[in-house]
Amino acid sequence: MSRYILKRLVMLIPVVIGVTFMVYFILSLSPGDTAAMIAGETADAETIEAVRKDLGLDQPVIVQYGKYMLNLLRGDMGQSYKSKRDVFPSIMASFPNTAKLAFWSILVAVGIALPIGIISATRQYSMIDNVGMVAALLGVATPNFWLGLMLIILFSLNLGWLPSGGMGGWKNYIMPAITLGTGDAALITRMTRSSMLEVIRQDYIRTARAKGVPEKKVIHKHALKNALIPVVTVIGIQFGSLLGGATLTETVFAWPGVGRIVVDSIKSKDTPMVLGAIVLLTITFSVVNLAVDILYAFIDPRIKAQYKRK
Amino acid sequence: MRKSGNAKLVAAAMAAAMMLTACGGGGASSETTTAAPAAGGESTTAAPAAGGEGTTAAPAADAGSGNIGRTDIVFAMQGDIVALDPAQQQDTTSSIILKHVYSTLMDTDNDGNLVGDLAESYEINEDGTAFTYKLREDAVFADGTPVTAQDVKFTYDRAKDMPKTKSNTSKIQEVVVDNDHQVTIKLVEPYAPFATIVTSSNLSILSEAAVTAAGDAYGDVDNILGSGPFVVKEWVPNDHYVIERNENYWDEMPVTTSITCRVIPEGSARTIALEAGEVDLVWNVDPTDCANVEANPDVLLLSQPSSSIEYLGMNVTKEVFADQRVRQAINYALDKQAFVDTIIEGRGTIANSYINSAIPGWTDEVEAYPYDPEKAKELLAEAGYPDGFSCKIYVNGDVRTRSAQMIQAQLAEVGITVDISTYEWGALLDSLNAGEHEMFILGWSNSSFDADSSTYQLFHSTNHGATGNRAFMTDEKVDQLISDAAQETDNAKRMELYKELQFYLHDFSPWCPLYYRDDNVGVRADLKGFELHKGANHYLGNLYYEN
Repeated sequence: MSRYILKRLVMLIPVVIGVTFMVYFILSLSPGDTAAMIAGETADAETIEAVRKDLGLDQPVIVQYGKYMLNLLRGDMGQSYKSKRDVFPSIMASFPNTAKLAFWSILVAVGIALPIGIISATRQYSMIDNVGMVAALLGVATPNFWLGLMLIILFSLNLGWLPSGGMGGWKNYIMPAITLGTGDAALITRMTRSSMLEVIRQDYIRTARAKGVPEKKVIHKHALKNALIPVVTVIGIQFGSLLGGATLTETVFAWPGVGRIVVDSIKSKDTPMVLGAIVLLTITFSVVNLAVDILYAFIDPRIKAQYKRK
Repeated sequence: MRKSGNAKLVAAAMAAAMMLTACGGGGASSETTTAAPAAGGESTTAAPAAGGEGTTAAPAADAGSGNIGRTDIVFAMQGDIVALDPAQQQDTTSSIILKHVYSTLMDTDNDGNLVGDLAESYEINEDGTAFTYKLREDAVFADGTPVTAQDVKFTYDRAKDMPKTKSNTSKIQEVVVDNDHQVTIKLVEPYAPFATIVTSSNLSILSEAAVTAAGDAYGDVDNILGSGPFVVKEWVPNDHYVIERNENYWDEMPVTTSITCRVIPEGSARTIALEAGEVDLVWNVDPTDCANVEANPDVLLLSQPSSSIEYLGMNVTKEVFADQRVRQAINYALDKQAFVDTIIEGRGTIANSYINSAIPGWTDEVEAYPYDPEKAKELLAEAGYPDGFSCKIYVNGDVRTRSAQMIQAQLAEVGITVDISTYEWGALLDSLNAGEHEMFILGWSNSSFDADSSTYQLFHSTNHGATGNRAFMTDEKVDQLISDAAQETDNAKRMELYKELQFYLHDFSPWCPLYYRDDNVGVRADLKGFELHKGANHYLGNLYYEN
């Protein structure tokens, strides 16, 4: 098992190189003169040239990329073109904010999705199932920024219960976590339901019931555990993308997260900031995926057995 | 198992790349964000037709009445600051905090008049090539050390070498320290706009000792030193910053003890925060939210004309647009009031001229071309296009795409078929700078509050493309007027030259000026001490609530 984990972690190196390479060249190929964008709309020709030289943008792209990678190997992500501040601390200042929000959002999502998904499956075509599935459909279809604004109007403006945005106490987490969580909950609910439906039709469930195992135990112990694999996969992917920052939600709730940094940096062609964030997100996403794979082993003994064979 | 693992890693990489592409496609903001307002000499500007006077909540002088309650103020802005080192920034958001933390040689009052800051007076030599500033002797930095002529020289010499301050200092030949409290700045040629350039926040006076001691770390929160009324306490990027009263301040002590700026990027969320009482002031209320603010008795909307202009530009080097009659026809064919009413929801006025209405030198004597499709058709027929023609318009973003659709519909009335091409901001600039375009929509925000910044870059023949002249206009008379005005030391004569220039441009019609947007500030109705600054460089040091 540990060999497998190590192998997966080593695999990260080529992935990071590949991702930075792609991103660097996509950014340099994308239209727009970086120096002019950084210098600002009202800059004169002299200023633009000064900025170009100052940022080393007068050199060939491949040279710029080489320099960037050499510095990255030394653990130096460079400085933002726009603010001249170091990239790593700038991103690390907002990453925890994104991570905290992602954690609470996924908790909201799972808290809503698992019970509804399970009940929907065990009582297929019942009232609860129908209501649950319609709600899930609505959840998937509702744009986050709209839901966010509606929540703000209701709870901040009209009722005055919750702060409209920014970071602060636990109250600040409620609306953004609900906004992000409900969208993901919808997806997870549907996945839980269909996976459960598949499992409860298996022979071993019929056997368990035939043996007279109580229905509660059949569902929770025999069915759920086997149905969880695809659900955990979806949760993992959702959590990974939440860690990448939810730009729209962050914007509506003035949340100082990574998503906003990435989008702002792409708009202003701040290459070092974009790359820094992408490297970090790549690593995070891969680690979350690895964690999900390891989790499989704990849920499903068959998979655990496979590891042992290796 | 191993196989699926690898597939997932590849998926991660692709997801990252896809996210990037997806985000890259989003519309970019196009509004210029530079502003370091300052007005030259006497205010020759007539009050603009609409937009109203600066409404004030309460005069600052009342502040000493002993009735003062809460003095820690929270305000909201759309974006975060870029840098705390003045020479590393040139955007509005940064300049707001810097104006509170640093001092400049000269400053502007709320009406836009030039007033002393660190300098108590200044003189210009006869040929306009040397500006001598006499510094106040009581001025000190926040740590108590005096502000000297050597600090001024250090600041300007440093600025000459830094990219974002280069254009502001390009006319400086040398800075001479006459004595501890007097400094002379010698220019390479007569240059009247320099009088207002010294008010730019990126030329805020630095302490030589502090900058030298901090080295590259200058600009960190713990490593800045200014001589303004406030000092920086905290900066959490993308979230908020806090400035507190500078107890060593050498001029009128602020009433406000601490100012917190919250970054709230979404316009409606900003307005809601104000209405819910979470913030005391919103620096920029979106046009779509203005009606909500006006309808709520707990808050007030204060509006004034901003220093920006939105315009439809035409590339005069392209065949059809080389003909002045065609350009004038387009001016006649567009109903400018419709743009004011729909695009900015009535929060602004028709642009009558080529200079922003808030800028000294703007003239109200030029009249916008009236909406007259018949006249437009006549001119087109005269120019040899009785059946119109087809052309392309280049734009970016939602708002300008909507404007382009209106232009498309209105020009169709006179037989001109317009094809709209929407670009991402960077791509748009590339095309415009290369001169591939026929028509385009852009805005211009005057960064120095001097008419030179509204004319030289936009119309002088040496500035084709990236620098600002995207109509690719080349005209000897315009060049001459612009350079004469920049060198004229007599302010009244200077303003006459700008007036002549505007009449000439109006006739030449390289653009169809569309509108001047309003600058909208939202405040809590019971907040005292707020006054609008004509250049949107509002001072927040007099804000308080009564008990």
